[in-house]
Amino acid sequence: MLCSNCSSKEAAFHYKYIKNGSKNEIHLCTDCAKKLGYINDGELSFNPANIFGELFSLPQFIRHRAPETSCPNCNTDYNTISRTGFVGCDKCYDFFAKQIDAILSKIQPSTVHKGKLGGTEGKKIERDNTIKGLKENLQKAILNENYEEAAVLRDKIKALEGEGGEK
Amino acid sequence: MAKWFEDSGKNSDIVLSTRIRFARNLKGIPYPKKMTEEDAKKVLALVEASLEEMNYTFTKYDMQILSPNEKEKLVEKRYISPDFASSKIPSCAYISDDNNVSIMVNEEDHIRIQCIYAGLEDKKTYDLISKIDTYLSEKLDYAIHEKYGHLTSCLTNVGTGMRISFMMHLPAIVMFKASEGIFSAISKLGLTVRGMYGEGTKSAGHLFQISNQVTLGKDENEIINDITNVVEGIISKEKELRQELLNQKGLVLEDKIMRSLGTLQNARIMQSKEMMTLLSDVRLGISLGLIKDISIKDITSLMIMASRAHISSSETSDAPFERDVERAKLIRNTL
Repeated sequence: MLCSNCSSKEAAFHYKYIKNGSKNEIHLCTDCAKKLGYINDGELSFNPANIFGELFSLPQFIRHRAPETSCPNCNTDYNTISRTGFVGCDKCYDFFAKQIDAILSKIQPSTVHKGKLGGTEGKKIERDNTIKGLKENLQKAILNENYEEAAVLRDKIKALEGEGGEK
Repeated sequence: MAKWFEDSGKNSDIVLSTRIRFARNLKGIPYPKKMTEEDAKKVLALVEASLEEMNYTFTKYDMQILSPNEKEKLVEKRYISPDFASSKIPSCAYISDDNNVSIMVNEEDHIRIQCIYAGLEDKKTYDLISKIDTYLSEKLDYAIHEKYGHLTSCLTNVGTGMRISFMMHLPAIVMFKASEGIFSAISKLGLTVRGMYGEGTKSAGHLFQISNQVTLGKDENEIINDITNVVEGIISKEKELRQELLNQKGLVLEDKIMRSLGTLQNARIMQSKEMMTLLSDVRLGISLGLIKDISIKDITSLMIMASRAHISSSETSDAPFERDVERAKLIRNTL
């Protein structure tokens, strides 16, 4: 079967979906599947400058299945977000959480923030993340029977959790 | 303190400027593309009140009051973006009196903080912007997300909200036709290269902007270290090729550079594009020690002071020919 995008190479990627109750299929060659962002070629090749154009160039039916509704806070619809890369307000990030996560994972190396936040809320998040990391290290230290390090880590966690309690 | 284009820093002969911007938004208010006039005024009032309490003096530039020429001057100095100059909602830029910081309110995001220094000054630039951001984060309620960090209007800025860009002068790399290979390698590292005037523009005067694309999943220091390593690599390549150029072309190169200087010092009519090309030669000549009585910062300063809006007066704003005459005069007086 030939690729339904370039019609020249053999299709290696098969995608089935249901729209309005009817079944549809799309068949792509490896190159087109990579180009359209369906599969990752395993290296750092994300390019935010192109991704929105590429999403836009896809036929409507094979974009991330778009919710038909709009953000209740700012009235931005998903189609606009996937086409332009712009959201309308903070609430869009919750309302379109799944779809936005999918876009971010295509254009960024990870979808988890590292780095500074600042402010009262930001500091709390920063502290919670630090504690989470320390707890993971604590588990590792215990597993490796490295009790000296575990004791240091436990004290650090306690101190940080104490700070949180005071505020 | 001197403005970035009248100053020099590390590797100034190759790196014209280091610029960092942070994109920030306030919780619960729609982003500028979706905000009402009332929302816009509210954001302005909140930011202005915070800045007033700050131990740093800013001058306010109201986009609804400023003349088009005044706005264009701020764009030419790279204190505001071209989009911001044509903003239709209430929006203001706050520029620090030491000229290193500009804060745009109601651009693409509620707040865009930008710091700029001459030369390769990533640490100095980051320290300053970080200080201002920390201060504002304590006064204002930033829109942040447990997983994604700073929320921004465009999904390409989410996370750190940080874009760092270096403006570089790379004549030898261009002359040896090495730019294509280098730039395509750079883009594989999650960085972008653009002409001086932004996306899609051809480079004028061998000037290129190199900036990061990654904003999420790496912290500020990692992003800065990654790009600075690449920029340092480009600097040593450019230096190596400049020496090679001198060895191979010697007198022919010197002749070209001195002719360019001669034209700048004597021309009576000078178009902007021609000026950029000639200034590029002269900058290279200074860097190679062929021209001794002109400094690199004079060249950068001319690039800005002789650009369109800066050279325009009320009489010449609609007269390109008169502008070219004024430009030639300014260049003769400077060099």
